[in-house]
Amino acid sequence: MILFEVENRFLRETFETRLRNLEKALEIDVHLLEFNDIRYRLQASVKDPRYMRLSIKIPAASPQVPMEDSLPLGAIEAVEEAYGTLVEVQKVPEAGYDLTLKVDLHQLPPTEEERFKLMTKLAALRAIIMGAPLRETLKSLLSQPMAEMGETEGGGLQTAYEKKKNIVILHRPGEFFYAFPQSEKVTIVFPMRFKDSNDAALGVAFLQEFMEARRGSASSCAPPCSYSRTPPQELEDAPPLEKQPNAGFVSFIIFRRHVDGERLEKTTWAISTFHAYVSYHVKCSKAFMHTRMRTRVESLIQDK
Amino acid sequence: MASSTSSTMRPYLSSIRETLNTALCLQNFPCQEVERHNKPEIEFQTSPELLLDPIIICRNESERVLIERSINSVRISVKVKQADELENILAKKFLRFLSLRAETFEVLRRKAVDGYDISFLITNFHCEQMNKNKIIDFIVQFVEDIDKEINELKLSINTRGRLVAAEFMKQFV
Repeated sequence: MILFEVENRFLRETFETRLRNLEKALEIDVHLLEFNDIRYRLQASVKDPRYMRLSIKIPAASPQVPMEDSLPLGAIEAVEEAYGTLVEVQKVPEAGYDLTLKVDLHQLPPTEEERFKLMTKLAALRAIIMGAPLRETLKSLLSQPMAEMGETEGGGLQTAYEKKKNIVILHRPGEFFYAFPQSEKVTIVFPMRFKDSNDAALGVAFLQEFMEARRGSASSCAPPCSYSRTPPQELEDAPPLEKQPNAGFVSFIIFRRHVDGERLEKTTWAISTFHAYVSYHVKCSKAFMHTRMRTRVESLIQDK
Repeated sequence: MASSTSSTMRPYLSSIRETLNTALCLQNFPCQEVERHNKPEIEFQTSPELLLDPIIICRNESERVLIERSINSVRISVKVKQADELENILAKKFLRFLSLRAETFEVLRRKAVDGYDISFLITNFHCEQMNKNKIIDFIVQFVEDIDKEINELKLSINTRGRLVAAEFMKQFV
C-alpha cells in the first residue's frame, strides 16, 4: 500500500452487508475509530428499517483554524452536494458526535452498481468533510476569469482575494497547512513537524526527493513543489505557529489544470493526506531500517 | 579484503590492521597498587610507565580510529563517517544496537570513549582465549562493514523517498 484509500473499508463493507439484505430489517450498531482521530458510529434498527444513521466525530481543532459548529467550514454544503437527496443531515447530531447523516434506503439508485458506488462514497465521509475548506479554495480557481479578464477587473479581484488570504486548514490534530489563493494559482504550504529529530532527519531526506520527483517525465504535469528550511515568503504575515516545525516547509502550487473535473477530488485528497503520507512512509522506513540493523548485528555476532 | 572496498578505504584498513598487529602484544600483568587485582591498565591509567602513546589513524576529518595501548590491554575507538544528519542518525542507531548487545561481543565496550562512536577493549585474556588474528580480522571487518552498511541504508532510504514522492506526484496526473 503506497497511497491511502479514500474510503474507510470497514464502513463500506458494513454498508454493503446492509445492501445485500435490504428486504430484511437488520440491527446494526457499530462504533469505529479511524486514523486514531475520527470516530464513526453506524446504526440501523429493526424498528425503523428505512433509515441508517451515520455519525461522525472529528478531532477538536486548534483556535487558529476557523470552524462552524465544530465542523470545518463548508462541510455541510459539501455533504449535501456529494450525496444529494439520499442523505438528510439530522438537525441535532447524536450525543457525542458532530454530525449525523440519515441515509434513506428507499431512495437508493436502481442499479446495483450505482448503489455500491454510492456506498463507497458514503464511506469516504471523512474526505468530504475534512476536505471541504480546501475543495472550496481550489474551486475558486475554476470560477476565476481567464488572465486577460483578470487584468481589467484586477482591482476588484485583488480585494476579494486579500480577504481570503491565508486560510488555515486542519487535517489531523497538530497537522495543518496553509492555503493561499492567488490569481490563477493556489499555494499550499505545509509546515512539517516530526515527533523527534531522528524522524525529522528521515523526513527531510524524503521531502528533498519530492522536489526532485517532478523532474521525472511521468509527473511533468504535477504541481511544482518546493522545499525549504526557512518559512517561505507567503508565511510572513500568517499567524505564528504554536510549535515551530522541525523539518522545514513544503509548498505546492496548484494550477487550474489540477482541479479540472474529476481531478478536484483527487487533488483535495492528495493534499489533505500529505502529512500522513510522509509520516507513514518515514515510519515504514524506520521499521525497515531496524529490521535490517538487527539482522546485520546478528550476522556480526555469528561471524565472531 | 573484499574487492568492493573503495581505493581510499584500503590503505586505511591495512594501516589499522598493521597497527593492531603490533599493539596486540599483550601480557598478563597484575595490578601494581592493589594485591591480587588484575585489571586493564588502559582503563585505569594509574601508572604511566605501563602505557604507550596512543595512535590515531585518520581516513579523513570525520573518520578515524584511536588505538590506546598499554601492557595488558588495548582500547580501540572508532569514529564513523557522518557527513550529514541522515548518516548521523543511521550511525547512532546502528551503534546503539551494537552497544546494547555488548556482552555477546565480549570485546565491545558498553560506552564509547569521548569523541568516538564505538569502542573495543581487548585484554591479554581475550588474546589468550581467541586467536589474535581473528580478533584483528573482526575489528577491521567491523570498520569496513559499518561504513558499507551506513552507505547502503542511506541509499535505500533515498530510493524509498524517491519512489514515495513519484507515487504521490502521479496522483495529480
